[in-house]
Amino acid sequence: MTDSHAPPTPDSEPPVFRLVLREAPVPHDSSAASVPIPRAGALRQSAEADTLSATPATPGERSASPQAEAPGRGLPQPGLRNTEHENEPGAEPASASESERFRSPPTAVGPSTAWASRLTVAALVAIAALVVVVPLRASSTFLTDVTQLTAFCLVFAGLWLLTHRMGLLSVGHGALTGVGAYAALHAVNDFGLPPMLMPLAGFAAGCAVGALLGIPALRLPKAYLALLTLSAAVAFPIVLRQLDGPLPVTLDGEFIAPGWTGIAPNDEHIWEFWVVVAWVAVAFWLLHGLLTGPIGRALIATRDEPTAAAAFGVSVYRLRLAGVSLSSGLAGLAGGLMLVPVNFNDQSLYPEELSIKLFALTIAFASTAIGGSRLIMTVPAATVLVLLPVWLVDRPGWVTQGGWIGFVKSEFFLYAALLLVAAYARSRRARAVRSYDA
Amino acid sequence: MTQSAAVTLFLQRVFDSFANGSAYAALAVAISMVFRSTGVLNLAQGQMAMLSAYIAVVFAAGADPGVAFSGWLTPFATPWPIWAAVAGAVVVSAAVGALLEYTVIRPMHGDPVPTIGATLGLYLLIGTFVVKHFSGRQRFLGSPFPQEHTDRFVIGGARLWFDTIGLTLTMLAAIGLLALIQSTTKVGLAFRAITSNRDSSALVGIRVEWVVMGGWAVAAALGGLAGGLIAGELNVRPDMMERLLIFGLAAATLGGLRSPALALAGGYLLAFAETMMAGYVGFIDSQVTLVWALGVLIVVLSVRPSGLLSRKAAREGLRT
Repeated sequence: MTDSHAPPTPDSEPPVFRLVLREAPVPHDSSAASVPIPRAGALRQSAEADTLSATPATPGERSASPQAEAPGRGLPQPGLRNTEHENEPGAEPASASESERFRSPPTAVGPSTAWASRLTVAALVAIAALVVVVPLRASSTFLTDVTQLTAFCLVFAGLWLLTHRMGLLSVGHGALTGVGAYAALHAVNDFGLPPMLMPLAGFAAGCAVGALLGIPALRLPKAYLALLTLSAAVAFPIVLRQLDGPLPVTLDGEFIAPGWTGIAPNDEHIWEFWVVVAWVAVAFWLLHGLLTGPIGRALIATRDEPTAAAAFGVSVYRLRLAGVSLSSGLAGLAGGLMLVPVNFNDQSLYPEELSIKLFALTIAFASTAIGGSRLIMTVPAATVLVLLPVWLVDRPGWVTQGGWIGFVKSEFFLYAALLLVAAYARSRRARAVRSYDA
Repeated sequence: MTQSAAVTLFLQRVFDSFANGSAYAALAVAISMVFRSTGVLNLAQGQMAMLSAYIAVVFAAGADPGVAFSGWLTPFATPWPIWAAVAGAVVVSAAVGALLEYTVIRPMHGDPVPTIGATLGLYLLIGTFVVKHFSGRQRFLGSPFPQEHTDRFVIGGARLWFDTIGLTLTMLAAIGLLALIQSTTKVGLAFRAITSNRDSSALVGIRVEWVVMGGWAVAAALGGLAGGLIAGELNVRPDMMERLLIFGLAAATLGGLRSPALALAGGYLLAFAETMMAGYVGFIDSQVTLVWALGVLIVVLSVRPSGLLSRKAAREGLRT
């Protein structure tokens, strides 16, 4: 990642922009007349969005601004950091930098600074190392947890796409995961799909249900998607109980490691882990590719400036629907993967509390303040989701205790507190932005 | 089945839907009241009603060491009659609703994402609170209305229980009283004003915060009344309100989330349809009717996003 992706601060913004804005309201010569002069906000947006197609300054303006001769228009010009310029009465107030920091959307390339990018690479290397080392060391119980954790990363990726890239809310991703698990299980049991491919059935089912919920909700205010998805989350366990009966349904298929892996017959969980990791890695790679491309930028446009996006020919509703569907499909894919380590499906696995927990962690970990603009933040979120109950069970009495003490020590209390704190922090940030805009 | 028996059965099913319909309607009215005045979709409304049922259990238990918090009632060691317990629960619910609005919802300043997050936080918080204090066990709370096996009218062979009548009439009276307060009193006028335009209401001197807080209190009280009364039909359990919440949300959607009157009608309509489908469509049993409620939600939102509201009212309402 180079500096060209750095978020613009006022002093990295080429001065020529300001001069254009302040001193040349209407271009007179015909060559410039064909070039529209963007509004300040539009300029700022385009500067942020990495696709710097800045307005070329007209010759007359250039003479007014010697800095404009500098090459690499749009890139930060260290030599031109001109404090006089900053302090001019007409210049944007210093608080604009604050405003931009708040506004700067986690764009397709993210507010990526070099260190964050290096951190991501380091994290990826560390994860790769863990993927190889952990299975050989960990107990089978712990490895099963880690396998589920890996699958949950995909659910979080779906939620992250929805919340962070599209500004939408889903409180039903637990249920969608369950839908994926149900579809995958029955695709294998009833239709003879090879177990290795069953996550695809989960993906398809997740996409379909997501589209079903999205079609009505996306035409309406945001609260409706939350309303519908919460209803789905509450209804799912009841419906699954009706469809599958009160007892767990076992998968008719096993994951036996092929001979070349050298995994002992009793260590299938290692093979299962690697199967899940492979699926998740491929899904993340594809998702990352999709989101760093034009579609990713269009999704951000539908979040920030739906009207402008529509003006540029983006079909906002259809793109949002595709995004919701993809997000649900990722949850469904993860649901299919859940069956790899667990081998059965049961109504108790996907209660509505799971959906709310997923939502809580997404809000908490999708905060830009902690680098939540990056897909990799799904890993800590999934880690908390899966390992917090394990940690709590190891604390004597924490889970079983009643009364006020038990209340405060309970998992749901921790989640509720997380949700409330994250929501409060988010609303404060939103208000800070609004007060700058006003 | 003879024709008269079929009519009897039909009537019986109509009567049976009244109790559920009242509860759905109360939740739906509470949800649309809050949404209409503040734009907040209170997803925790069902849990608040569930909490109210537990509060009624505490009052009705007197100072029973087996029931948490009933020790606080030691000076009044005798168990309260059920009607008083429900009334007490309604009062406490109103206070809880006002408190939650003040402490949790108001700091979010109406931003949609944080507010929905906060109501979900309340959802978890109330559920956990009840599970940890009442150990998640089922409790039984009788009905404030006569429930003997002779307490019934027989109309066309179908039995209409006093209990059902009492529940339905009480809910209708409560909702009617609210409508009356809204349309005739000064407080009601202030409430309607902030529903219509919050900023202008503040400019003409209405204390918007107080009115919104009052709206939450009244909505919580209404939900609490529903919770306390329906507890006579269901057992009091931490998950007793899940089904009711979905039906309540669906009914509120029928009213475009804005019209309490249509939400009320929607509640009874959904309960009626639910009972009829469970009764007459072979492959649908009473649990699967939940899918039916979801289906209603999806279809209504797809076809008529404004619910049963007129298009003009919807244009005025939904654009906000």
